[in-house]
Amino acid sequence: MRLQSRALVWRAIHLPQRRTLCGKSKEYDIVIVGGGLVGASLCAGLVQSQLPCKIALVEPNLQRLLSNSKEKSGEAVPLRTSTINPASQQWLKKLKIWELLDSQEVAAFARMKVWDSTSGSSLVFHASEVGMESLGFVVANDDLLRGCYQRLQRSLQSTQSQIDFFDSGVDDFHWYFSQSGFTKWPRLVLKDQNELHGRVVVAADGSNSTTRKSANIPWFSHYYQQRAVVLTVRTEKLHRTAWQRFLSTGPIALLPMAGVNISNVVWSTTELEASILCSASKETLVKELNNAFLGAVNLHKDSDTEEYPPSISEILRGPASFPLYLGHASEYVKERLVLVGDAAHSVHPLAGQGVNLGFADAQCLVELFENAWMTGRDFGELSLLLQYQRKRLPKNLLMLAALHSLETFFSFQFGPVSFIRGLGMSLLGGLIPAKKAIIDFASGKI
Amino acid sequence: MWFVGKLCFPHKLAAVRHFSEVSKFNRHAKDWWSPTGPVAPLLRFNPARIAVIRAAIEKYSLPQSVGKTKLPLQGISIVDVGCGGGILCEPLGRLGATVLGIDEAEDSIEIARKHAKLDPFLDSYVKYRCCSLSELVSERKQFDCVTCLEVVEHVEKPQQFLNLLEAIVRPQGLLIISTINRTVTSWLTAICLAENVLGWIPRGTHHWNKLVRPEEISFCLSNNNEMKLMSSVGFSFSLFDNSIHLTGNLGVNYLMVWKKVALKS
Repeated sequence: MRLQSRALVWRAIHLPQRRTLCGKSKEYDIVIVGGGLVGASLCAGLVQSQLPCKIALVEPNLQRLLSNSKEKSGEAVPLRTSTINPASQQWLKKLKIWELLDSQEVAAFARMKVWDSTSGSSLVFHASEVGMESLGFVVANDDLLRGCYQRLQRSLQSTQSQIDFFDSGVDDFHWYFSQSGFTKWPRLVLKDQNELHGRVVVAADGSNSTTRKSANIPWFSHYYQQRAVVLTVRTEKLHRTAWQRFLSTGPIALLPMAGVNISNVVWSTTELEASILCSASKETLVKELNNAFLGAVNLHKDSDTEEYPPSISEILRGPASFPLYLGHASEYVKERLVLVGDAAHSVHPLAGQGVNLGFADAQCLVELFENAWMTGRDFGELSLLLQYQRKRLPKNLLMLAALHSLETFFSFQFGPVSFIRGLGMSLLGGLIPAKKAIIDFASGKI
Repeated sequence: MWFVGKLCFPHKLAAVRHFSEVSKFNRHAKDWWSPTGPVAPLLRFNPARIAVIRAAIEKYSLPQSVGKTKLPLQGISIVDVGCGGGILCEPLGRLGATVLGIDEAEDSIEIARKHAKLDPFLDSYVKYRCCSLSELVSERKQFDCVTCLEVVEHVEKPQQFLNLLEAIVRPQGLLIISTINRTVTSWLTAICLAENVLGWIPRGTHHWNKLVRPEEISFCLSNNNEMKLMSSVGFSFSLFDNSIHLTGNLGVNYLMVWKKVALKS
């Protein structure tokens, strides 16, 4: 099996390169620019829907992604993780990607505790309170990507769709937007000299999307003056709760990962503190982390594990840091162009919603193309793509606004505000319907 | 049978195709594909119509040989009479049908050809020709499926026109006609509301007394028992979410599927 998949990888990568020699431009029904989580899962979704169309996946790191086997990534614990909400999990199950994930690297959490460093009040969400099995799953990004590409490779033979992989970046975009309905197919010149014509181009190339920029779609963005520091740590005890504490400098989260007492830490903090943390020694870092989560609480060995997170004993991987932006495109579609995932919206990572919004976009787009194909519609037609925007933009914007408000609300240090915040959290803690509404919203059900 | 007289009598002296109607469509030719132009409502109706046509072909006419790997309408020959800018031909071509679009408005045919060139896939599936229906009849051409959408209400001699349509349907083939009913509701919605109040379609596009009732079509097509009405369906437009629904009410816009059952001796 392993050998066979290697051969496939080789073929998938080398066929297009061999074809370059002809230098002929190629035509595709769908060109996906960017083969990250959203792009690859979109591709897998299209392949699964058995549309007899030609798909091109353009990704500069394709070679690495296609051959991303477990052995190569080594024994090191993963650093970057995604929180998968139940709606995304359903979709990944439908795509048969979920079953390919290393079950060891999928960690479900059924409980979430949010608390505040100034007022000391807290809020606990239980999956059982709302009749769900779990609130979410913490999955390593590498594992998810590996799952997507494995699924793609396995379905290559059994599908009606034809996929060509291009292991290259895009050098130049040529758009021919017009108002009259006579929009020529966009032309993409790749760095490896291939020329692609696409009925529709799907931009899944992240928040710095060159595709979006080339099409002159305005991008609203706000820099939080913060960086997120990520680490993988070992805790003293096993736990199955997602912990989030709002400090005066920003939220810090401890997410249970698969493995023996392994957790992922995402610490959003000021640029200064982030740079100090990144250059600190491991011992200092452990101390800082425990201080951030537990504060003045003196955790005894036998203290209540439900109340406070377990203390951190060791840094396994990291730290790494990245800047935090909020961003949103003013429109998601133009004629023959769609933005999905972070190319359309990027959110604060405090609730781990980023990739879930992207998966929801991809799912919506697959359904749209399936329906369009039934009636022979042109995938690039503006009136068709606008349906996607009408469905996704309000939902994404709502989540974006909710996360931003949450971030802002918790960053106030002013006494009365933090008092109201504490009161609100205590009140909310007793209101199961309100909690259910919040969980449904975060699970992608609304 | 008063309506039959109404249908046939006033047009007795007129030519088969009225010049002003052709020039009316020539004038709007460049707007055929514009999502904001005068034809935009037709574009909005398109997916629902294609769905009905595809279902009709698959249910009543599809040859048994069609395999699973092919496109759904692969191997079906379709002629679209009064194709305009090709807004029906292109989706049918994408579904695999071999489509010929004919129209008397030369500018529309030019636009249709130009638009089809944008999509390399359509090259081998969709062809256009600027000719009249009677030319096809005189060439003794026949097709698996003849579609004629929103045309009957614009021709001068509907009865003669319908009989010509019937002639180019191959035995066991389908004739699919859609038009606007001549009712009070259609006057209120399709003419008053759509043309005069909302301005979605240019004024004077439809003349109420030229609209055709389903009974009139049935009368014209069933005189020699060759054609059998398989189904008819109405379309309704929801102003709230701009969506099109299928309905059993044929009061405004409706579509009829006829099948040529008997062989002509």
